[in-house]
Amino acid sequence: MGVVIKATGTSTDASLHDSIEHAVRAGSACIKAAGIDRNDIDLTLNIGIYRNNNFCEPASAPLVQSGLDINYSYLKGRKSFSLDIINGACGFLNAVQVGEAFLKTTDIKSVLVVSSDVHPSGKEVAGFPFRNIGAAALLEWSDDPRRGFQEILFRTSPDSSEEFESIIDLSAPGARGHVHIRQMKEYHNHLVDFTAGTLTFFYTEYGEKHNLQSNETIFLTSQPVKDFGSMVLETAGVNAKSVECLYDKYGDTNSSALTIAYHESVESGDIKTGDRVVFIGAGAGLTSAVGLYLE
Amino acid sequence: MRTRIESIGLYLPEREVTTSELISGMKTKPAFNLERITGIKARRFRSEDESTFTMAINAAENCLSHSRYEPEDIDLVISASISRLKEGTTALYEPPLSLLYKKRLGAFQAENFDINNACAGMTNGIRILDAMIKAGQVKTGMVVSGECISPIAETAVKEISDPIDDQFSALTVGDSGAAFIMDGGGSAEEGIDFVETTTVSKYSHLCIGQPSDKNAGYAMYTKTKEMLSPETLSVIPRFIEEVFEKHGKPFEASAYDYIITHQVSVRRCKAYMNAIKEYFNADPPENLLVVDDLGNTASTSIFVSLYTHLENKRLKKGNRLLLISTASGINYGLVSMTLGDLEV
Repeated sequence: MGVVIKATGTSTDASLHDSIEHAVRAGSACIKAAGIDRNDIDLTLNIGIYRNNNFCEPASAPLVQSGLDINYSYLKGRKSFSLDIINGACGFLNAVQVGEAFLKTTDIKSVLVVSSDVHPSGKEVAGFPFRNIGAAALLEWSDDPRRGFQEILFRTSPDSSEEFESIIDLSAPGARGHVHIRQMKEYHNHLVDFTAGTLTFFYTEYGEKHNLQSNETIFLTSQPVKDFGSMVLETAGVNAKSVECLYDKYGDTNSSALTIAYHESVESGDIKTGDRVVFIGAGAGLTSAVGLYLE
Repeated sequence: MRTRIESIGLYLPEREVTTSELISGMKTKPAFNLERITGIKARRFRSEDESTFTMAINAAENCLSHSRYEPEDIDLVISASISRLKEGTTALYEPPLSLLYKKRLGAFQAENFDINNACAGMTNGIRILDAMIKAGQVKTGMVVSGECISPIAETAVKEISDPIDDQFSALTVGDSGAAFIMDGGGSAEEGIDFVETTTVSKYSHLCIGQPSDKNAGYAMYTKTKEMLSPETLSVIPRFIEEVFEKHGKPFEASAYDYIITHQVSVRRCKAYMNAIKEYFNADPPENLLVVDDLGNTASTSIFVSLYTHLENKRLKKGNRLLLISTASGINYGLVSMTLGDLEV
């Protein structure tokens, strides 16, 4: 019983540097894969961060809703709502959690989670660590006790908030096209250790209940660096059936990483009905999140 | 279960800027009387050492000082501002502002994330917390917004070159911080009846905020005529009618002691009330304003008004309130509630 991923979609055209268009293309593919009417989407949550021109108003989500032509005009009896939820590469699991709250307690039945990150200049820029890409996942509620998200855990470090910072410098003209990344040398190593600690904590809390140490668990993780997932599992001493690594294919896909990893694993047949899947998000803060999903 | 707003906090910067002072700095003066058209006499601007971060923390600390909860009791901290200025001219994408807030407040155990939905951010926060508390995910949550929005007004002063310019709306804004804590302690005598929000996306392109392409700082470009058109106005009473039907009883203006709308301008706030009056053929209760003295404070505006009118004793325990948010998107939101014993 819980939130299930009914369908996913991606937008991977490397020549496209438009955050809204990436999210719209991914959302459109997701709606098509789900086989539903676009107007059946009750809630659109955007979790993408880096966007065209560094715009801050409106949120991205209403623009994506408009691009997807979801409840474009006010019509009696049909409502849709959209907003942005921002928490770096962990945003997907925040969206699952917020989606769960709405699916459980309101008349919302269908939640579209979209993500995209692009350099604000709309160009390929050397040194920008994130791949221009988009992803979407359609969330629904299932009463089946063997399906859906079961447990989600978030953890942040009490210090270290400046190990990775992305900022817009507004002290001079031209801020539309720039974003500055400040990353300490040891950031990725610390992120591996911190995330391994979160995974260990997750296993202590839920490992026995869900039989997670059985070599049958599939791991999908953020991709801040190549083999991030394997390093986290090794540090935590956790067994796995497989750990998806898409870094060579896409690089760091940031807010889209978990959706894309799930999308590709389902497409390739690596994730099948009945599988136990652990999602691991990790990013600035330090922040990490672990979610157990039953396919 | 009924959720409620358990405590509320406010921060207003000291520096007051009158509309005439603001206009005196402009090379191209408006072709109309801005103060008369908007009803906005003054607004607050931050001092040099203030930012989204400092105003949010001041409001959150003020909120905690009125709360029965300590920072370590808070399960979730949500930042809801449009502006993301960590300091003077530095906007932060990552880590999220909510992480900085919970660390500064000492709410280390809390979950955190930021939300962004233009001026609807804090009312969206009510909707999210209402659902998350009822779903059993959290017991207590804080929504906080430090809205350092004055840079768009400063840019408008510099850049407006046409008597009819799409940056005129930026002259209406003011800075503030607001915060509230919600929990599941509502009862028949206090709490939130319902919160509903909707986005009508055909209007999503009408107001864009982003860094200026000419100067340092942010700018906001608004197609004011379309944004404040009779068409966008007409959604409000239709949305009210539909939401009340959904919740099982027709809207009755007399069931509320006060309405608090998003504080766009005095004129627009009156237009909201007239639209409700005409549609339902009944006089709505008074819309409690602060926009005349404090301008449009974006995501905090409804809560700045709520706090201000608790402070001046217009609002008191047991009052029935309808909050009406409007925001770029265009987002429309309604919160029906009964006020508890909120200390300010």
